[in-house]
Amino acid sequence: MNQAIEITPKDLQDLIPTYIENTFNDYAELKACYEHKNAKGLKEVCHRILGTASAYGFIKLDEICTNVSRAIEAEKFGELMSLIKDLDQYFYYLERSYKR
Amino acid sequence: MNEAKFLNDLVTNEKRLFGEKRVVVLDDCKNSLMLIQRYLDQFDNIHLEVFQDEFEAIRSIIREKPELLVMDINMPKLDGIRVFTLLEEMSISNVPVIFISGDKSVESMVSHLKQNTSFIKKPLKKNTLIEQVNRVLKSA
Repeated sequence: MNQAIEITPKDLQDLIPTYIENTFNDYAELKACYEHKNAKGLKEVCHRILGTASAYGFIKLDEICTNVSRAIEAEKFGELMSLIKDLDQYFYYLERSYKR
Repeated sequence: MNEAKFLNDLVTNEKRLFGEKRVVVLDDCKNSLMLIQRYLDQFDNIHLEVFQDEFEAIRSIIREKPELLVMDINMPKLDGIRVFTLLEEMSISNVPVIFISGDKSVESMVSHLKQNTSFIKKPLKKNTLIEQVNRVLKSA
């Protein structure tokens, strides 16, 4: 899943380490919401990530979070579980790519 | 007042004397704040103050009215609309506001507030923000 490596606009490249650090915190919050079955919290964190992911060039992350948001709206919890797995995999590769 | 704050205020006042415009940015999301700050860095005639906390931003606005307030709507302590109405209630009116939100449904709510407010939908686009800020500052 090499999609974790994304294309960032040149004028934002120096911000990426901080962006990733903040986004890892969002991911931890999102996982906690998921584990506590907190749909409202889950949606809020997704919206927060969606507010900037594409601007920083993290298109795949934007896509997964859009789908998570839609699954919550539609109360498709089976789909949600699979999307959370995608997110886990995404952050696993993101960590390997950027935190080396 | 400590020395660092005194010097900071002094520099701020000096800059404003030379025509810099004060822009306050309020967003609870660090990544969003960082992005707005970077996009607005290209303006050399503005003095930018950024806040993650709603009440700190309000205190700063009360202390000195800015030429522009750029703020998120969905925030944990007070939403952007409430911040706006609080400022109005405190007679801090006529501050142009650019609201930012990922929720398109609030756009119509913003359009009913008053004339010098506008709305930008997240995800934030650099050109859209710059155009809106330029438009407001030119008329300030």
